[in-house]
Order: sequence, then structure tokens, then C-alpha cells
Amino acid sequence: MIGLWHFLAVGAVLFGLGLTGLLTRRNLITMFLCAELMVQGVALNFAAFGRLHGQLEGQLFVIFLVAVAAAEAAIALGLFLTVYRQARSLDVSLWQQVREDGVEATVDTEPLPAERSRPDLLEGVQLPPAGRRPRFQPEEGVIRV
Amino acid sequence: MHEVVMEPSSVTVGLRTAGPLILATVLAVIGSSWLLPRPRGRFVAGGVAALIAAAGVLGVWLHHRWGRPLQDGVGTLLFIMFTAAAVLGGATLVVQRNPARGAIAFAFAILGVCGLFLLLAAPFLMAATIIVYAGAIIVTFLFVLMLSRTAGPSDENDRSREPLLGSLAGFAFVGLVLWIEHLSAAAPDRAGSSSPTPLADMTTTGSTPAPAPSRAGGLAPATTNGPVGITHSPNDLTSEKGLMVVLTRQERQKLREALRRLEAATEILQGDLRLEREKRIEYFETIKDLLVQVVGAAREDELGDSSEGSLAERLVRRVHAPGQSPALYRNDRQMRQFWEQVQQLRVVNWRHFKQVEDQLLAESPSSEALKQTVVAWRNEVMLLAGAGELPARTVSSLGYLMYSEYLLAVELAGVLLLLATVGAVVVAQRPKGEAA
Repeated sequence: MIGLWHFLAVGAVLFGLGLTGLLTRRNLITMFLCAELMVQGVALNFAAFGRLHGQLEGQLFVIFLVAVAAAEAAIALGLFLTVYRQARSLDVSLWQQVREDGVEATVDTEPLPAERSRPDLLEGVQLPPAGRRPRFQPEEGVIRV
Repeated sequence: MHEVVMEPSSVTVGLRTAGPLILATVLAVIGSSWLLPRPRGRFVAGGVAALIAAAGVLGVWLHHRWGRPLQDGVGTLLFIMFTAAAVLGGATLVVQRNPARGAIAFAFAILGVCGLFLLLAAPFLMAATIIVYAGAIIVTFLFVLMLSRTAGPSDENDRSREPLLGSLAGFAFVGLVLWIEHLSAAAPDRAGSSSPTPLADMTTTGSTPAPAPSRAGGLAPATTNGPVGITHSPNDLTSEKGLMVVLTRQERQKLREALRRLEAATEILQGDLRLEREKRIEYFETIKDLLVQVVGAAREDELGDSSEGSLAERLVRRVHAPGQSPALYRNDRQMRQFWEQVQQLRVVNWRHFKQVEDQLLAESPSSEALKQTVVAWRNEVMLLAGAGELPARTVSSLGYLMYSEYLLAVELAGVLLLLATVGAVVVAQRPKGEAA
């Protein structure tokens, strides 16, 4: 004997969180994970209704859902790699030229905050004359694929 | 016949009770739009506080509206923990700036959902989801994230598209869904109170339905079996009466005992079957009597004994007026199937026992025929003992279902996975001549 509605409510909350993320976030991978969160919310509904009716079909459907999600992840991964190779970024707004006709392009007006400068830990440190000051190499911005 | 007519006042009634829901939605929208990444004006403390307040309001509303999620304390505690993990992980994924941390949070959300699957008697789903999501998908995406790591703030991680409108869309959707759930759970209540018989006649169609007994008295036998303390409408799916236990613990124990004895019958049937006939027949008679206590005895077969069995006494509504046929308290597909099983076992139980008795009393009893009868008997009892609830050991049944009834769908899923593999290779392939 279970409270069906509680599970449905949790499923709805997960779905809504995923929807919010999918609509607002701009990183392709985060968007994809948010879509998967929505899938989980739906899967929870299937399992809860299956339990309510004492039938296994609900669980069976979730298994197919998982299979579809795995296939989807494989394709999405390949697409993201290709997109990243071309634009060197996972920002989805870089691809807004494929938007609907008659819709204005979004322009980011606010500047990004300046990059916090990495403090040079060795600055001002007086090394004993016997030693040699090691060369500090800042990190490469982008590692090439 | 019951009418599911929504009275016009139901929407206004729902609106009046949906105040906490609206409050939770507004709080969640405010919190989410404060927390979503943006270059300036992110208010983390306020956002977290608003989201927690929204979750609290929603939790209190859920508890007030539908009571505890599971009847036992441990189950409720586990439900709360798994839900907290899932929702917290999901929220962190949405508002987290660093996508790698978001992926880890997603893994936690998956673990929470897997726990809920366990509570829903779906252990195979739990294992499959952990392997596929927390294992394969997360690791693969972390791999890509490492490849595409950027130093410092970037457009994709530190900006959001329309934080306020986006969260409004998402959470207004949640609020709407919950409100509709609230209405649909409440609607049969009003329909039931407007018409005296919420459950249609089961055995005959067209006859006038029996007037329902007063709810407290008529359904009292059911309430003694389950935990008490929840009062709901009789047609509410979550209510005790709506989800009336199909088999009580005592009935299940009796069925299990009969099952155990039937499975151990091979020992009884060993040796020379012409000896100790009374002892063997007595063994099978015990089994038959156990089953008769639960499912009852068929009137025309067993002379002098037409007992109804505890299932019939509990599940079938008596009528005292002549010309009216009895009906089941619960009128849904599951219950009808179950009732058919019960009636079948009632007949078959006697028949199998008679066969065993005849065989044992015969000049030269055939042990093969006896074993066949016992196996058929056992299968019937097994089907009934597992009815009504999904047992925790659903994996073998799931596998059986997949490869018998849904074989085509399984094949199609396999083809889909193969195509996805090929597609991923093709899509991610470097064009010829491009340097590495």
C-alpha cells in the first residue's frame, strides 16, 4: 500500500527542475543532463503507476526508456564533440543562427566578470642564492581535442 | 452507475485549497531566478533560502493533502531521504555554474531516484538505472567536460537565458501538475458523495446497483486489515479502501503454507504408493482445507460444504434484497482479474484434490500422474499467492515478460542501440585530411 500521489509529486518536481534547466542553461551538456532529469521524473511516474496496479508493464516501459536514454546519450556525445571542434565552445547560443525566422538574436549585454587573476605565489619570495627560481607557467586556456 | 461529473464549484474549491501550492511555486521561481548563473546580481543566500522554503511549503502541503507516503515509519523516512537526494541533486544541477559539479549532482539525483525505484518494488530498474546513468552517461560526459574545460568565466557557464521566465515556465508547470493531481484525487470524492454507489455492479450489467452500505460499517472488514489513521474518500486511489489490500497477511500465510506443502509433496509421494494411503490422503486434505479457508469451496462439487472463504467475505459486498447480485467493493481491472483467479482456484482446488485421492485409492497408483496433478495445483496456488502486490523479487517475472509478450519491443530497442552506436561513431568521426 503506497501513496501514489507522493511519488507522482516527486516526479513532477524533478520534471519541472529539468525543464527549468533545459530552458535557462546554455551549456549543451548541462542542458542534456537536465533533459535526462525530466526523463527520470517520467520514469518515476511509470514505476509508481505500475506499483499501484500491481502490474509489471510500468517497469517494462522504464527499461525501454533507459535504453532510449542510452542511445540518446551516445548520439548527443558525438554531436557535442563535433560542435565543440567547430566552435571551441559548448555554448548553445553560438548556434542561434538556426533560430526561427523573425526572432531577434539574443545579444549578451552584460560583460562577464573579469577573470580572477591567479596570484603568483612565488612573487616577492626571496630565494636563497643557491637555489634557482622555478619558472611559473600559467595553464593553457584550452586543451586541444 | 456513478457519474464523474465535475461540478462547477470544484474548480473554485480547488483554487481555495491551492494557496500553499501557489506560494511554493512563487518561492521556487524567485529562488531559482536568484540562483541561476549570471554575470552580476546573483543572490545565492536568498535563492537557497527561497528554494528551501518552497520545498518546505510543498512538503507540508503534500503531507496535509495525502498523508504519509508509506505506512511504516522506516519506509517514510527512506522516502524522504531519497526524495531529498533526488530534488537536491536536481536543483544543484540546474543552478551550478561548473558543469562538472553539475554532472556529479546529477549522479546524486539519479541515486535518489533509484532509491525511490526500490521503494516501488523495482530492484532491476534501480540496478539498470545506476549502471546506465550514474555509470555510463556520467562518466562519458565528465570525459567530454574535461576535454572542453575553459579557464575562468565563460558564456556558456556564467550566463542563463531568461532566468526569471525560464524558472517561471518550469515551476508553474510543476504547480499546475500538482494542482491537477489534487483536483483529480478530489473529484471522485464528490462524485461518490453525489451518487450513493461509487462502484458499478460487477457481475451483471443493467441491473440496478445495490445501495451502498454506510461507508464506515460496510467497509469495516477491510479497515481492520490495514493500518489505521487515514481517512479518505472510498474511491481515492491512495485511500485504504481504494487500495484495499487484496490479500491480508493471514491469507497470504495460508497460501504460502499450502504452497510449501505442495512443493514438499514429492517426499510424500515417494516409496510404494499402495501403502499408507490414509496418511498421504490426509496430507493433501490439509492442503485443500487450507485453500478452502481462503478461497472457499465450490458449492456444486463439495457436498455439504459451501463455505465462502475469507476472501469472498472480505471483498464481496453482500446484498440482502432479493434480485440483486453481489458486487465487489473494488471495481477495477486488477480486482476483477484477481476475483476470476479466486473463483478458478475454488473449482480447481476440489478437482485436483479429487484426482489425487482417486489416484491414491486406485489399484496401482501412477506416481507420474500424481506429480502432474500436484504441479498443476501448485501453479494455481502460486498465481494467487503473488496477486495484488508486486513482490520485491520481480526480476524474473520482468525478464519473462520482456522475452515473451514484448519481444518485438525488446528487439526494436536493441536495433535502436545498435543504430545509436553506429551513429555516434559516424557523427564524431573526423573528416578526412583534418589534422589531429
